[in-house]
Amino acid sequence: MPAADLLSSQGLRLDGRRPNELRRIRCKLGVFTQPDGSAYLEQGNTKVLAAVYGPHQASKSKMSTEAVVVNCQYSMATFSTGERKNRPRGDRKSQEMSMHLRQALTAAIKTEMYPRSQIDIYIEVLQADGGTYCASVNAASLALIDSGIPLRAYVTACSASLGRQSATHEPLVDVSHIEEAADGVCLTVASLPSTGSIALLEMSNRLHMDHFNIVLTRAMQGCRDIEVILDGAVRQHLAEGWTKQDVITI
Amino acid sequence: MRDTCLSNCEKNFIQKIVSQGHRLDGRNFNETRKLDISFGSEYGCCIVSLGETKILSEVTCEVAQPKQIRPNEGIIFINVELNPMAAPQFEANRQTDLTVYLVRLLEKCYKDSKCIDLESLCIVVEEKVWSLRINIKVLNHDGNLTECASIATLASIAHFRRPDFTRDGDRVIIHTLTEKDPIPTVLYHYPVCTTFALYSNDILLTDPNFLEESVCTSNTEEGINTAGGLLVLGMNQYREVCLLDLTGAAIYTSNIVHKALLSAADKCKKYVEIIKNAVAKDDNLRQKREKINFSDIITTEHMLALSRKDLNIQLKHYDVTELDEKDEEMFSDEDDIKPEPSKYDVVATVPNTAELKSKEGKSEWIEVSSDSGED
Repeated sequence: MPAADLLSSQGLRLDGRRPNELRRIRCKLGVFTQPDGSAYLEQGNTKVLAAVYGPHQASKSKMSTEAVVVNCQYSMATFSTGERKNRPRGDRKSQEMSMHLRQALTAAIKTEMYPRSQIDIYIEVLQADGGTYCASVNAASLALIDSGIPLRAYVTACSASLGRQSATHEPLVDVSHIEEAADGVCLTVASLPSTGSIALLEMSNRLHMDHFNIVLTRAMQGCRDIEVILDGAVRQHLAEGWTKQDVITI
Repeated sequence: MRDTCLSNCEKNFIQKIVSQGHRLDGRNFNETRKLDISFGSEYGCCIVSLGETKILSEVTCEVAQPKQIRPNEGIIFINVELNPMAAPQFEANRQTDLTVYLVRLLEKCYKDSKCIDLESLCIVVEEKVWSLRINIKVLNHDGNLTECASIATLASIAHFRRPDFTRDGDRVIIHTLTEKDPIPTVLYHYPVCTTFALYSNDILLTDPNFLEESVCTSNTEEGINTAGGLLVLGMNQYREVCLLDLTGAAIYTSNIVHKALLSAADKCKKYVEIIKNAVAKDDNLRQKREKINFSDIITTEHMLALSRKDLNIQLKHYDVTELDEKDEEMFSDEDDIKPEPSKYDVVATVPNTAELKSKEGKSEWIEVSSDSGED
């Protein structure tokens, strides 16, 4: 149900954005030396680190002869949320996030190129202000590009919600924590925008099926916009020519 | 025990017949298996069977301290147990990906959608509230655990009654079931989940069984383009989507989700009706002081009790009444041997299927001669 207070009478959201504005995204590739690829991404106040190791030999139990095994671990720092988080990983929500991350990233990686191998992706959330899954997928996408693993396309994720302004329903893109907590619906889409395909679709809270279409379209549009931003960041990083690894070896 | 792999033959065969418009058990693409809800003697205990998938759900309550951030609301725990009784590949006491998946889907559908009135579970603000614990045990896994588990959860919550209590100054007295009538839980709306199996070419299968589900969730060598996925939709009777989850391979357009939404809205409404009727019927029986327990599912007269239907592959063009001319010639040769009266009947119960049905009666020992001198 769209909450009436998500959108004010002037058409501004709770944090002052317009309904179709994304939060500011700042990112940096190649922030660590040890992993094969790494990235740091900020989406508004949500700050996420991603590190990629691989492809390397897979452990015997997890090995697959047909494709590479993608292993994701999602961890939230204890200081990342408003109240101190006692269990950074291993609780049910983190396990579910790891499964969803694995699903989205497996759709993007060309898994048939590295049979019997394993790619490890570690996500650490330093500050959580809503949209942590989306920021994690975006950061992991950059880290995969930094590590040189072949991808089918960029994989980006975006969330969308529904606000009500007088009589009209207006979809809101990039949901922040305060909007999530106000019992607004949150539809999360992870897609490969250049191919138009959806890798993951997830929704919590109630949404009437008549409004589903506009919220999904807005989220897909948000994914496309984020892809443009990430692409720009990758090109700029390549133009500068340095990662921390290059600095050490030269 | 390790998971038995899905062979390439089975996978290719199923993908081929699905693209030609058939299903292995003869159902249409939007037909579900037989749904059966039965309640136990305790309030809040029920077994739901969807075809051969059987799930037991139980709701219990106890007094606990509320969370600090929500001092006037009750607490709900959902716990799913998959043990080797359900399928040989499950390991006892181990939380696998499937367990986490099921628990999170049920939590999103029933906790995050706020279908249960938590404030009615409060006893004393900031000190005592009712904590409901929903235990789901999978008895048999034949595909589509999510749908069956959600129906079981909803039926058991709707059936459950908590003890009444009275406040006496500082003390709170909780009455037993014999002193005061227990109170049913307050549900704002009734959300139910349905599962669809997605195959290539935009084909949606309702209520996939174990084989169809395994084909969808397996990996393919060609990459993601031809693999399928599973779409879980949770809707209530007011056509609101409470839960949406797409697992598996990447899908190309979102049209298939819209198609699924329309189909799910009708299905969920029907399920909610069925659940409400079942709870009302059970309530009537209890008011008449009839004893209700699970033994009603098991009948002692009939030989086939709680067992599976023998045929799970149906041939679409088989008619039991057609007899070939060739067969009649063969029959005339055996005239001198008198066949004994058969204990079974060949009955066309479902169109295009022949089923062996035993004549009703108790099981009997059959005389077997021990003359066979062959080795």
